Amino acid sequence: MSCLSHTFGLYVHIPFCPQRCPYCAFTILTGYTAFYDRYVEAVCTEIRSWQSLAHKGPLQTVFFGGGTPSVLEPAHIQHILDTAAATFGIAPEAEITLEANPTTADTQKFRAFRASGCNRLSLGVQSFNDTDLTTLGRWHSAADAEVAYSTARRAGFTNVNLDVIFSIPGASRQHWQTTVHKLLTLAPEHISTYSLTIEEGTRFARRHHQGRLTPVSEEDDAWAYAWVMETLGAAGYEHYEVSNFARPGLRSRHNWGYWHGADYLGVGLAAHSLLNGQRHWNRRALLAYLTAVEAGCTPREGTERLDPVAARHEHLWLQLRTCTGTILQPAELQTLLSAPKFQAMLEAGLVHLQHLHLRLMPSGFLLADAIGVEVLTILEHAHKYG
Amino acid sequence: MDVSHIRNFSIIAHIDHGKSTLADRLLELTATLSPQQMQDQVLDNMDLERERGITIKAHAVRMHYRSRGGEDYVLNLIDTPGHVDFTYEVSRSLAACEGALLVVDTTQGVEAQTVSNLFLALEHDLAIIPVLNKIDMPAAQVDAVQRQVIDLMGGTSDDMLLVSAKQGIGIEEVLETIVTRIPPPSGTPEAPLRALIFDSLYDHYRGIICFVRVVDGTLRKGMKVRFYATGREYEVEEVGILRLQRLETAALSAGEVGYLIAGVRVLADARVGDTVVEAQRVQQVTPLPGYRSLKPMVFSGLYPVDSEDYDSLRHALERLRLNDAAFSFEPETSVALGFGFRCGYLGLLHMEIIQERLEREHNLEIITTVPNVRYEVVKHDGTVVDVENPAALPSANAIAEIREPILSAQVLVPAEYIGAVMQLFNERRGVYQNTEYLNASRALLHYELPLAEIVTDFYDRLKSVSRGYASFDYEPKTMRAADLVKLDILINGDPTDALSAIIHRDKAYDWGRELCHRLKDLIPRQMFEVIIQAAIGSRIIAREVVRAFRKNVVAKCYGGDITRKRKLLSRQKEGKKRMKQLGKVEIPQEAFLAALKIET
Repeated sequence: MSCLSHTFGLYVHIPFCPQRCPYCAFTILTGYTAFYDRYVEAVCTEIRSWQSLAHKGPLQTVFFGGGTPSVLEPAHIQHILDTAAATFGIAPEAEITLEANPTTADTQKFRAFRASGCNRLSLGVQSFNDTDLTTLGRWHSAADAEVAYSTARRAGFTNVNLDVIFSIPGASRQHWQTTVHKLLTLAPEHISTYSLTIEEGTRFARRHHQGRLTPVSEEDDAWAYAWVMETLGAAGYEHYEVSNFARPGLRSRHNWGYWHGADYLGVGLAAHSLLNGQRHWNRRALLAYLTAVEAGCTPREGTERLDPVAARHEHLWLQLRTCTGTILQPAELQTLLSAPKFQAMLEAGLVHLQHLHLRLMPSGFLLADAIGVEVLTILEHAHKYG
Repeated sequence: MDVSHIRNFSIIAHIDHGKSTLADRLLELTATLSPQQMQDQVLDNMDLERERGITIKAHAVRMHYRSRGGEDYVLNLIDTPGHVDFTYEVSRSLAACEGALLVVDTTQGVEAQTVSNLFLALEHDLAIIPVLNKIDMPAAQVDAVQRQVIDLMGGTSDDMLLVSAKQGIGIEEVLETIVTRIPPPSGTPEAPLRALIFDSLYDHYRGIICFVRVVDGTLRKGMKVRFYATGREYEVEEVGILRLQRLETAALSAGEVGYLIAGVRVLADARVGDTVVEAQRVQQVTPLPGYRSLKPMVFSGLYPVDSEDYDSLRHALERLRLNDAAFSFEPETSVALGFGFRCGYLGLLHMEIIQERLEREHNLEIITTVPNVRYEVVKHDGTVVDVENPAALPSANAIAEIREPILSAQVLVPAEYIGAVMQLFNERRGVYQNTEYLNASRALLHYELPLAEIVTDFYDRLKSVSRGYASFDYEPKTMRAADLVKLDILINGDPTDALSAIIHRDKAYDWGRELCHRLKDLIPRQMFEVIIQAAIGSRIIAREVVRAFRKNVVAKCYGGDITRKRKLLSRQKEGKKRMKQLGKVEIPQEAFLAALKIET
């Protein structure tokens, strides 16, 4: 099932957060509580403006991402889902994910989210070590995270993802092992593990430039990633994408769509869409977004359409980041096989090739970007001169 | 043309002492070109020349001058290239003259090229007129420089002209002195033809245009001529004089300077220094002295970064050779770099100019290997082979000896830097000859020096040890045996031919270690480990490792991240295109020049 071009997903960006984490480089806003109603209304207006896509419905997936979508009231979520259902239809078995923060956990609220139609909850717990959480500038403790998880269960969420971060500056290998072992005892359906990246423009980057923050060594970062792949694999989780692990049959269908060419509509601030091979993205400034939508104009800021070769190549490296890998065209295979560098990757066991099917081996996941660049460089050169 | 009213002269100077500016003023004052036509330094017509402030190719121009005595003269200015790489071309230009203006910058004083050019001019028995330039500058030290010139060539300060070419001061006096102090040419128009080719160039429409000085006889349109050195014969299609453009005339006779077009198709057939004679009277003449066929002294490999550019590179090299007889190239293959060319140059500046023109005028991305000299390898069986590429050195057990080119080098240096400069020459295997003191504070040191020792960073080092005050000049002297070995660089166990060097045994160890170290810094980390080794024969003398990536993957790649991420990958792909693939690893272009920066 590598081609998902017939599926249709909706991404709803909720940019609001109670506060900004020092490592976060996303388009988020703090302190805009007064805008919640207006923003939700604008999102609904934007959804309705896409009436022309109704034929793609019903929606197979909906994803509320952020930001911290759980800062909104359940009624907001309900309103958006109702609007989406009215515009595109929502399939009865659709996956509807809501990202939530442990501090927003409240049984009543989570129950209401569940009742609004959300059937998958993604909790940003990040770590089960309080020192790590302090380093990350989180405003919840490891105990709060555990409580949030059981709240989600009590509220009726049977499909829960926990986000965790490794390679936190100053954290020992043992911290990471503790966090992962805790995850295993909680046994969520889905786990996302992210290596901490110090992004330009964040407080972490500033501290790093000032010499007040020492990133984890590449050695330790590689160890943490290799270790978690092995540990979660042994515990029965399927490693189905660079950063994602799931119980069999419980991959995030929405995210899977991103990597396998599904159509998706992104609404809200700075959201990206891919529709019929064309990508576009919305404005990044709240007022610009709101006033555009309220005036009945498009909040779109930019678009791109890749030529068929570039689109094929993008598809290829995105698929390579997943467990199924990619199915090569015979000409592509021929080109790769004649490149010494590709042969070296095969010999080194970084990639696995069976007939036309190319995928990464566990050691290849550690080097997924380098491999992607390599494969594309070989193919592009052949395309240019072949 | 009345020979007694012709004056043929050159201007000689150290680089930047104002030769071209003086030439401009002479042209202006003789109304050879109007101020409107005036473009600074008109004689340098290549962009590159103007930018670098040096004259690369010689040209000639005829000026008309009415002397203070009211007589009309023809003055032929024969421009000379201003760099040590082109000494032979300078000597041929001087051979076409009876006199020379020796320009000395009064803010700088006598420099090494002043001395070597002066000696060249004296060898040709030229009348020398010292011209002290830039006298308007606050830093001018007229008295001191006058003393330097007297120390150098005798005479008195009265013999010297004081000018500012930039301000136009003293220029008329220069013209008048040319007429009075430089003798007219001495040939006989009735004698059999002898004309010296002092320069030639390729013209897209006319083929080769030879610049000639008629020494004896008369050169006429329609005449059958023979180029003495090549033995080829041609019918003269056109002769003429050189104003700013060519001006056709019926004939050029003894003493005159002009051009000759005779259906010569390639530059190699119109060799600088050759004698043009009348075909029917070959038996009656001896050729003019001093001809030498130009041989490249310095070699390097040139490879396209993208192997698909090979044909474009060959085409570009062919175009360059049309205009530059001293430049040579032939195809070669490197295991590391693929198909390319081994190119020969007169010297390092010549090499730089060629490479810059390839990149600028032909828009080619090229990899240059470290330059080397031509070695003579004597084998045990007695045969001698020329080696212009270290990778082509015969195996060690077949070699009886390796000879390398030795220069006769002069360096002019203020007394306080003598020690530092001597130290540098010792490091560079220089053999001290003698010292001449031009005066109490400046000495001219004479050394024998292997050419190989100046093809790496010699000039920079000389500049730094003398704070820029030393000036250097050389001419080739001989070939001499030395204890030379081939140093190989192995990348992941495979010898990388393009990084091989022939080097003196005493220096090989340090060189190898330093080169490995530099390569380690230049080669980026990548998917696979890069092991860099230096070896002499089978003995490894140095080893460095560029560790492989341990982890190289961005964690998040969801809907909103994909565009950004794709752009990031694109940038990385572009970076890779600028590198050369060696097996499973990549080497950046700069690595192939790493050896240039090595100090041993």
